[in-house]
Amino acid sequence: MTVLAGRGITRRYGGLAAVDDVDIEVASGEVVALIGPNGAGKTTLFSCLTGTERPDAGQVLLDGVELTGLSADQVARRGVGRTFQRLALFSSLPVRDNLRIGAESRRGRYLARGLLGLGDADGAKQEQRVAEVADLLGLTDVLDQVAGALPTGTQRLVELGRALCRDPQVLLLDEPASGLDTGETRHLQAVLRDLAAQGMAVLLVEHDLDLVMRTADRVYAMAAGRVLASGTADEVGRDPRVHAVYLSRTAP
Amino acid sequence: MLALELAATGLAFGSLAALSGLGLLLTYRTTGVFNLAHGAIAMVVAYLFWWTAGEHGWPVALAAPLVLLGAGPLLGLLAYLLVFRDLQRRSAPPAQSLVATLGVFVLLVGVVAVTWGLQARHAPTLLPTHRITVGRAGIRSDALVDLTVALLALAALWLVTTRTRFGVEVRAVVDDRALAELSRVDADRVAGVGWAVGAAFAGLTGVLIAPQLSLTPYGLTLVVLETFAVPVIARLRSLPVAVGAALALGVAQSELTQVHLGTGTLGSVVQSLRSNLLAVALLVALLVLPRLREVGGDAGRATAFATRPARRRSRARRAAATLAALALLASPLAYPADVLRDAQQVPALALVLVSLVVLTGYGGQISLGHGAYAGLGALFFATFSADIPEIPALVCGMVAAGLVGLLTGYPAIRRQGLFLALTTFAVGVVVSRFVLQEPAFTSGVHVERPGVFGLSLAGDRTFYGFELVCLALGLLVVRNLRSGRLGRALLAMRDSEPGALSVGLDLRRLKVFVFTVSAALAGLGGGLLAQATLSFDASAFDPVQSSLFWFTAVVVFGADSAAGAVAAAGLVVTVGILTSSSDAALVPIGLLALLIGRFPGGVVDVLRRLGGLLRVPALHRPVVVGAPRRLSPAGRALLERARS
Repeated sequence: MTVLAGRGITRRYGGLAAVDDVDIEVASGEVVALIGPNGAGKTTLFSCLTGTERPDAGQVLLDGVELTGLSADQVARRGVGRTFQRLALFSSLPVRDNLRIGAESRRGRYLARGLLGLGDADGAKQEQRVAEVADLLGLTDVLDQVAGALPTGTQRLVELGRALCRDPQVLLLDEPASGLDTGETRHLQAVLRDLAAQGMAVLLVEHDLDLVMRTADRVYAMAAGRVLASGTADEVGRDPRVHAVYLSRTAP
Repeated sequence: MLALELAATGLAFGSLAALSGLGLLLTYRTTGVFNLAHGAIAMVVAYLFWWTAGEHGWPVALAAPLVLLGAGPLLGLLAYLLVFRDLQRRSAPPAQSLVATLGVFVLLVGVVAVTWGLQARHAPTLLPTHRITVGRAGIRSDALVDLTVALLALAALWLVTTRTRFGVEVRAVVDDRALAELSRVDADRVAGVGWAVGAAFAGLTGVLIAPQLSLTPYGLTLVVLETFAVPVIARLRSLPVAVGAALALGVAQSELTQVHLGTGTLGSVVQSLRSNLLAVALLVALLVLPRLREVGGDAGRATAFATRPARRRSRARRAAATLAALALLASPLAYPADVLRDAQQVPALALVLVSLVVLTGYGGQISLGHGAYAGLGALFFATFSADIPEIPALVCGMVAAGLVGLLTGYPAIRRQGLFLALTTFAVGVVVSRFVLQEPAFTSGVHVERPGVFGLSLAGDRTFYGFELVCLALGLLVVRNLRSGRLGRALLAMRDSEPGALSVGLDLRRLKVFVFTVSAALAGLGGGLLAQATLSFDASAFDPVQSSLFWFTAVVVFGADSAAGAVAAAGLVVTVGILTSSSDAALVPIGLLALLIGRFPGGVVDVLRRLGGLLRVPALHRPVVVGAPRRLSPAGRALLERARS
């Protein structure tokens, strides 16, 4: 069942169409990868899907409900979780608080409650969610360390955990494996497959083709703002056009 | 003919604004640093010219080149070599450079105020003033001189930036310093020249403008600071737009004298507008101009000087520290009466500074206009207390200041970093000029100290106790803001706005909220400050004397430390008592601000680290990364599956 869909997404910067009439779909239980050379428009498409940027044309639908034009925080509250290519952690806070913020950022009267010093409404439940996610990602040992002091690979996992704590319907990951070593990448791959098995919809932008081929159910290949090819990882991997613009350059 | 004469006067003033704006733009474009000390440099150079040519009677032909070509550029060069080169080389965040410029500003103002005092001086003119008659209109010669100087400066800058290799190097350095250096551009030289010439322009502005005003440390500085409007209207880019805007504003300001709308409120508004057109233009430009962008892309976030990781101290240590602080705060009760009277400013000032900790240290927002909220708190309190008892009036004043904070917090939704700083500064100036210094609002206000249940708190000791109670309540609120879900949300916003948005935090609401709470706390502090001195004194909330200095003091002591803010208030007042000069504290605070790049956590953080050195260091625990050796059962199962 399709969870997140972009229809005819277009985003122009001046005369340049960074994303040009792109259709994309992610269904629950599948891992979908978005590949393409630098400047293909992957990150811009991500921004349009997550409300960071407003597309010039097209629609973003979550479970058939329109998200187009909502702000980034509204999109997040509707159930779209994401991570960033350039890390956007709360770097002065411990990992535990990073995850906790992810778990508790639903709407609520926390401003007035907090000002008056009344405790958090359902703290125990959120503590438990944090523990679950930390366990899943192998972050339990670093929960009390300051996020900004951790190695990049671990920071990426913390970002993933932060997004997971919200129980999103769809997870958008922007280059989750960059900065990870081989072991960490394996671990990430296992986590992603496991999430999909539990019914999560996952969309990732990734340069690590090994990871893409092993993890993704379907692949979209973009170039110059357009979708060049889509299908299973094997189909896209064999597509001569994709080879021409992308694979040949990175994997000679 | 009057219109023509006014236009000439306006052009003269506009030329000076243009000159100042060009200097600011030049430094900004070459170094990426918006020099908040520009006004202070102008003021110092004007003082040096007064001291040499006026006080000591040196011939102008000797004093002018010495001051304009020597002292001015030298000040800029020193600022660069001693402070900003280091920041630039380490690619320090823009927020740190901003605070460092505030440090230069505070230091220079402090040194001049301590050296030459606050009394107004009559500055000599650079050239003798004649009256030139054109037809039936009389034009003063200095107007023509100002205009000529400004246009020559523009032409020179324009030629250098567009037609010379140096201009290309400037643009390369602005674009990407590292890349420019790889192409063998001497980035240090470019930046050094930018600082020197920018400061020279500031000095020229100061010397030319000083004879038209009375020369005081704060007054002249503020006039030059209001010319921030010029580079902002030029979007920190275009030199010709800057000059055009400055001349237009000058003429408009001058022609406004023709508008007479009677002596009613409207009339007095027009009158205020005339003398404050630049400040209003600055605010309007910052509110309406779309797509204002800083050099180098990303806006500077306040987080750069607030990255103290939360560390838990033992309960005993915390209790000891709290007791010591309480004892220190209560100690003025034992002081002689005159010292106690001065010390009464400590809790009030502490509340104001703590309000900045909430905004900047926790919320990551910058405010260079907090004097406005404190001043409004004081004024509202004084006005309300004419009709209702003092304590309810104090609360109403606090709420009213909070409401103003709510309104003025909205720009923070769109603006960040430098432009937020400038917007809040403009709010501070406009509130100060149109409300706090407006006789219609302030004449006849009368400040009394409160009483509770028929018990008067007017006595110096009882009032100090009352202040401490207010401070304690304020600190309680601050603790609530720092802890729990709200605290995490604020710190999340400070650390990473994209990250905070991605977990669904409504940052617009959060920003307006934190501005409101902060303004209310500042308003409470302002109300108490008025009661401590038993008067409403608008100059205590002047943008230069209060807002800019307070912000600097808070950051210097540790932007996210409430204890640091209380200590800062104590230090400022204590230095004032010891030197019997209210400006002496500017010097140490300014000096400390210059070091912000080295100690972004502030004084409190340095002390804490020194304390840490004394303790036995804990064994270094290796950081466990992604796939740890001791996996949880679920993790191990996953890894097995991945391997198979």
